[in-house]
Amino acid sequence: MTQLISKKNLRLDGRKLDELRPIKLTVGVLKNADGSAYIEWGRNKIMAGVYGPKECHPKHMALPDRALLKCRYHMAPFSVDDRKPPQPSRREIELSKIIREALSPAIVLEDFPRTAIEVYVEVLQSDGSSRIASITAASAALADAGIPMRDLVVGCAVGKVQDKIVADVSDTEDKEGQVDLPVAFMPNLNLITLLQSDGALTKDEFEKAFKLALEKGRYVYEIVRDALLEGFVGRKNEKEGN
Amino acid sequence: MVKEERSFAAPGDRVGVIEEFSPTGLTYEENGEIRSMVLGEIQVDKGERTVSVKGRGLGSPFPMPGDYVQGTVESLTSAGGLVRIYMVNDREVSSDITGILRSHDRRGTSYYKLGDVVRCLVSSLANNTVWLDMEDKDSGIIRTFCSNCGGNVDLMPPDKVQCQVCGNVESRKLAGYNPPMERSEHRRFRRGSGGSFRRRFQRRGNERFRFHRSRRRFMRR
Amino acid sequence: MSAEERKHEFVDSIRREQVFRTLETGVRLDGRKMDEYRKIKIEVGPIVKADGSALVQIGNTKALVGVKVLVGTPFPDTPDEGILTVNADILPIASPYEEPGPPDESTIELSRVVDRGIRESHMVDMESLVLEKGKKVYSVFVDVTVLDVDGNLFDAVSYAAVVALATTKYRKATLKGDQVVFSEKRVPLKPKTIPSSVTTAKIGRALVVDPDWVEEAVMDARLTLTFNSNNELCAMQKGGTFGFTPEEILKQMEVARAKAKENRAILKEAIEGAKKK
Repeated sequence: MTQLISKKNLRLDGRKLDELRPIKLTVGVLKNADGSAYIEWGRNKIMAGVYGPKECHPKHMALPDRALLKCRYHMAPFSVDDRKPPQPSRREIELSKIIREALSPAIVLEDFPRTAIEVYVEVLQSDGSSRIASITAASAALADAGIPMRDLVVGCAVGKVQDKIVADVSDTEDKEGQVDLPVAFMPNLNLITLLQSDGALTKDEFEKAFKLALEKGRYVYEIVRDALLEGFVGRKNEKEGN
Repeated sequence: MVKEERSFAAPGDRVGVIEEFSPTGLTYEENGEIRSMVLGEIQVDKGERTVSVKGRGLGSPFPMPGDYVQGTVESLTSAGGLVRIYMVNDREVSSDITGILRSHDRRGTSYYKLGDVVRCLVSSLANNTVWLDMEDKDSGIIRTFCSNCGGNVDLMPPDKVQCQVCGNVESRKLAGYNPPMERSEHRRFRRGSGGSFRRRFQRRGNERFRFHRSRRRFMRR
Repeated sequence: MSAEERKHEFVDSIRREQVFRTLETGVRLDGRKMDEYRKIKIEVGPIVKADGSALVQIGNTKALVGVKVLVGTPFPDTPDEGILTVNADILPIASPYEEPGPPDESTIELSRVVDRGIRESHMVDMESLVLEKGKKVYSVFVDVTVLDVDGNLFDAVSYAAVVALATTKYRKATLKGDQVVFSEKRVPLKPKTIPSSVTTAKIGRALVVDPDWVEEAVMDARLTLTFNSNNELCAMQKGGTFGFTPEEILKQMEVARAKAKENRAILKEAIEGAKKK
């Protein structure tokens, strides 16, 4: 097994145990989508686009009291080391559902009865913790689309690698490490909307990891919020001709 | 830089407390705190003691009563014509919205036919349906074809069109005119054929194809 | 693409005349000249997990291509050639009219036209991709994802595919019995020629290159021409519901030949720039 953490407590890519990979988020990157966001989280490259509220098709799926949220998580065939066939895999179908359920508490779906809101997440390059990066990008895209939301949804994946708790699990650490624990939440309302885990954690370890995830998630939130406001102010200035 | 000004808010940001302001327009209250629901500029009215957030609006406009919309009449049913809306108040919609346009006005006249491009007013959103209306002056047909042969037509304001090919005269509510109409005159045009056989056939064929395709795709998910 | 069909329905009736009138004055709706391309932006190698990749933007149209080189079994009729597969996917984020699901006929046309341009120009030396004749060959997957649609997908996708292939460096494979062993050493997929594709459209009496979405929706017919490095025509595809006169075809051929040369220079610049890095 490869040595994932050096004696100096440094990880394979030189990060400290609780250090995140660099995150870059841009909103309004697509012309056609009603809202869009592009996130580069380490080597993850993810594009999220939102359409809606639009008329629900087929009509029998429409809900009488709120909008129907549709979500698709999809990976490009070249996004991973091997070639991924373009058809949706079981993993992608599961993640689509998980992401939908993570986002739906944040969106004020009741404002648009009988309509549909579509969220498309396209993973162009995947490198660990892609579901968290996807949710972060998707919530930024929703905000960019002007859809009323109670809060943004952000998150961070923590893990256990060589018996140490680390933040922001990378691809290799996910595959060869012991535990991967992605957490997504609404930071202002303090509501966890996604929580998964694989691998064994003691009670103490879980508490430590969970706390770390929330702490790092708030850091991610600041980045997302800044990018959103910057995009909004930038576009406002552009419109006013400054 | 943006943060210090505090005049902009992202969804979830605290924009005030309930003791100080009352929440209006795209804000909500949670545990005594007022939070923003959209990305936008905070607007405080100290006189009225209200706070709201003004965003960019929805990426794709959704028709509201009083809006003008443009669309294509896609099919005719007993309830009225199904209009596929592509523009709301000069903003193009990016997604699918359909509305229902009553097929007869209060004089009992049919004012449009299948395939026409129409401009109409949203009258209500009752029963979660976009109800459209062509009664006012600005509403009416923008583009139409002869229902007999499919040829281009000349406008004969205020309320008729004549086919350039076969000379057939038909009744249409033209946009920009307030037609002074008499009931008897319109009885003749009440039952139109609704497009030539060829055009009707093609349209139906397309529609069926589209329906099956979208249904199949969603079932896959 | 369904996007085109749907847009057609309404743009057709109203905007068509507007486009026609503008074109008659010698300029286009967005102010371009008849034979002017929108700005072509090429980013080489955005996807490090792919063996070669490129992001091409023509105006607002965005196409991302990733190349993966794997090892597979050759087709029985070509035992001494590698395999080249072009697979296009117009993502649902790219357009409001696109829905998730299997590719529709326009998407399949898109991948096949791009495939033909690359295959018929003999850009990739298929015979050099053989590991063991009739048993094991390299299989080159060119996966296209279209991120934003604003007309002229054919050229955007073709440029992205060409640049991605020309900058592909794949892991060398060796056969040990039945086992395929990949070495860490990477070898470049040397392109024999740089095919350059040019799409022209006929709108009324006007002939334009690089039609944008509005123009594609109102156009009568489309012609995509691909030229190799010697500027010889190697692939061609006509689309659209109307036709061309023979004179129009010849005229477009010459316009396209000149444009293909200009655009090839842009492609080559991007490829050379990536090699230096």
